[in-house]
Amino acid sequence: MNKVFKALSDPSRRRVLQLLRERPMSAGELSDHFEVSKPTMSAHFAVLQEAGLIEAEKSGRTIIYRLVMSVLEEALLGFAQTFGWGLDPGRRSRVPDRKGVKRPVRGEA
Amino acid sequence: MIYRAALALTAAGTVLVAANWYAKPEAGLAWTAPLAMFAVMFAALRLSRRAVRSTADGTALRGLDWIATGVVFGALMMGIPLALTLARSYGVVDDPDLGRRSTGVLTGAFLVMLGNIMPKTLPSLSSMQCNGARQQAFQRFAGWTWVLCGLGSAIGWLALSIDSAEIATTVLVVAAMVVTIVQVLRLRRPRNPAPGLS
Repeated sequence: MNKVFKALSDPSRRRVLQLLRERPMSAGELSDHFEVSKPTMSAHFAVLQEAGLIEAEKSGRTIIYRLVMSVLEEALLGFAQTFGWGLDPGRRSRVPDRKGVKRPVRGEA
Repeated sequence: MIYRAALALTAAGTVLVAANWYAKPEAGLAWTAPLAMFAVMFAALRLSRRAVRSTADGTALRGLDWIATGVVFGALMMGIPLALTLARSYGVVDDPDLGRRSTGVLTGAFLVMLGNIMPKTLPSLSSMQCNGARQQAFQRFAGWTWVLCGLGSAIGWLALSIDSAEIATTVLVVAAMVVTIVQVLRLRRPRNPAPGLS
């Protein structure tokens, strides 16, 4: 259950779950809805998969993700959306954005 | 773990039937029915365990868990009324409806559990006969329907009088079945693609 709470605590992951509620989607389609790098999205997908909230299925060369949330997990997602778990701007995401992170350059403050 | 719980509950149920038979021998053959049920549960557990041992497959293990979970619920549904009947025959419990109420609440809990996992049991996308999105939407809807039906049923058995609870839970279960069947029929109906989509 801890894994589920961890997965639901991040707004980006909750958005992924919301998108997958409509229909199964490929990794590319899902990534198009976010302004983060692909490795970051992959890390989010991995957390969601580990929590058993989504499932990946290979179709040719693409990976299709789909929702496999129980009713209780979906209710928890609803609570998380309503009460905004993890919406604190100070901790938007625990998954580091490897591509998007700008390393400080010498001489910069 | 769940397998051991199922075995323990089956054994406890058998002991309860024997104790009830001892306390009320005049009921005679009436006690053979629950005894036969517990024997069937025990046989199902042992046979499925033997089958899993011979295959050592992950899917088979999950199947054994499912059978054990079913046996746990079945044994509880029969064991609690048996325990209450025994308690009544020794004058420990006065309420004659307690057995029916507890069975009703357990049935509600079983429906909640079934509905809860329904959206998780999606077939693989490649094996689906219809659109994956529609199948997913149907299973989510059916899951919510049965969870709410089970919750309503359990609350009904706890809060209403026995006669009202019987009527209310029957109406709830029939309504949930009708809603699910209508959704299945809608799922089977071919849907025209939206204009602009090939």
